[in-house]
Amino acid sequence: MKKNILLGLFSILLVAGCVNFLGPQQASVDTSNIVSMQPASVSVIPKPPVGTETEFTVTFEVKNQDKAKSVDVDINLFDWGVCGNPTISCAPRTDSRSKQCETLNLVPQQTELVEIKAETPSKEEIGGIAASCPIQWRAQYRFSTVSNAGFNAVSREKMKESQRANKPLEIPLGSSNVGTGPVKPFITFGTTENFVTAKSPIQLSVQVKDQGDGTFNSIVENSLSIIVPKEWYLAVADEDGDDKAREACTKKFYPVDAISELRSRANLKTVTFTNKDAIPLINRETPPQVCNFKAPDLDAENIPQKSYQVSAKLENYIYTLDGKQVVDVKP
Amino acid sequence: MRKIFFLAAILFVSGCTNISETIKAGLLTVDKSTEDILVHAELSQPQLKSGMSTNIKFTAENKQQFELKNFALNVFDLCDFTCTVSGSSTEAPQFSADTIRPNRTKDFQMNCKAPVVESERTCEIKFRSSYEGSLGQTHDIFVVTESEFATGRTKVSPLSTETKSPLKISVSWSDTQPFVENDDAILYLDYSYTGEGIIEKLRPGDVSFVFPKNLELEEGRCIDFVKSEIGENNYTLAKDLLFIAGKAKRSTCVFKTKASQPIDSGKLSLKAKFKYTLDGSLPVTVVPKKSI
Repeated sequence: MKKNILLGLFSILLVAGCVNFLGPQQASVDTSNIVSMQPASVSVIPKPPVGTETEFTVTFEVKNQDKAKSVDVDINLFDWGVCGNPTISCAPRTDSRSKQCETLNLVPQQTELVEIKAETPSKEEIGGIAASCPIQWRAQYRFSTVSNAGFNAVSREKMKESQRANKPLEIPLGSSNVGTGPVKPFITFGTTENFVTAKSPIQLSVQVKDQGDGTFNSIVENSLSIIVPKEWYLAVADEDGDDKAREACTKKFYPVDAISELRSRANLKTVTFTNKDAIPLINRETPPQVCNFKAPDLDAENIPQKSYQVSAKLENYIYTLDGKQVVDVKP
Repeated sequence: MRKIFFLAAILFVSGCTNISETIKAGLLTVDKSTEDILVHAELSQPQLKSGMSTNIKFTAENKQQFELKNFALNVFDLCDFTCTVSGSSTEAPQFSADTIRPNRTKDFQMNCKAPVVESERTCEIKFRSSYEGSLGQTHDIFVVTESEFATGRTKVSPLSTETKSPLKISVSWSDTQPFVENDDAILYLDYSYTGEGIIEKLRPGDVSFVFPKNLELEEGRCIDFVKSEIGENNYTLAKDLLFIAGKAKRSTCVFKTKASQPIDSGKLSLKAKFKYTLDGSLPVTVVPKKSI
């Protein structure tokens, strides 16, 4: 008997001790939804159906699920059906009674309670039969996201060296991260391997996809940036001319920095291409935005191989999330 | 019994707590080694935030009993870190030492500032070290007269010596020793190398040998080698020998044997120098600063 108790205790301790066994506990955050307003968090008091001419409260939680960035969320109430006197308040600023919350500034992982109050109609207003009030609200927030991808160039000499030595090229995988948030850029390279040899063309494409629960229709001008190593850009300029280099990401994008400045300033290591016009999302994604660059002549600089980082940044886009709770009214 | 259980449980609990670190603090070391040298690379902070600095230290240790020459270390991929060596900023840090004395080390250090990133970036800071190594070998050569051979009682034990080296030159002969006088003895030299690095090629003058007086070599009968002006019986490599898959083409020399006494012994000595290149990398992760 004693032995069994001890064994049980040992098992509990064993489990307790290993909560963190595989690293820090990652909350199962879906990074697609930075701001969550899950239906499960919505509650109505009193429990529907609610009697006529009765004040009721719909509450739900808004959470910033990001682990690094603060988010400003604006919530407004836009439909309450036959119910009346609607107000919304976002705790802890409970005194502000209107149809729009004060902007909620949520630091990473902060949760706030939003409260919507309204009154059910009178018996006469619903003609003495059961009715319902569709309480609808809209949350909007600005968010910025950045994705990046690693790529490598290998000198022809190093390539030859490795092939002669019959040793595989040690190409670092590099980091490829897809940004957080509902809308994010995806970067892909037009090669099967994650490297090219020196002086070879480098084709990359950036596609922005909406994977959230809300809506986002179009990327406004000057908000999507493709940031590439300046060496790739100057390799095109040196070989095919400055005009060709400026249109490396098609005519829809323009380089923010002047070529002369990039050439003269050693501390400038990247060049940024930004979209001139709005880019619409069709079926929740943009067409691939293709860029064509060239790997620099590493052999001339006596560099065996080099790793690069490409980023795609979508700044200050506005994401819209709609929430709804139907409150049944009994006469 | 109960005490043992409790102790085991507590030990287990305490053992679990440290496994879950996300930001690794402390040193990252990478060693690259051959028979000649140990190149030790140290990164103070393998994971750091945007804009923070870390130190990178390289140590080259000569493991041989002789000098290693022309050591060079070139950090060719900085992963966008900004590095300073002795206070001045450099795009491609290079370090060198004319010689590293036996069992001595040379240290090189730089301070590098992480680039600004907006999402986690993992990268490998890559470096290439090279040095000039050498190899020495001696091989006994026994030639017997025909009458001595006819006795059938002659037994010889030719000895060979060689220094440790990543370059390997295998010396073999067409016949087993002792050779009989006035016969052909064909020498084969097979080149290869070991280790993680690369020897690209052996250049003219990189390999030389001196053969003993009980051998004769006619001009043109030693492919790849020419007579050296330095001394008698001294031959030196005359062309590039390229290594493919760690091996270079075999060299062949046809000697004529001579014996001035019943058992004539001599020594063939061979020397080689080579440039050995070793690549290494230090993985590093840069995490963005929080934007709150």
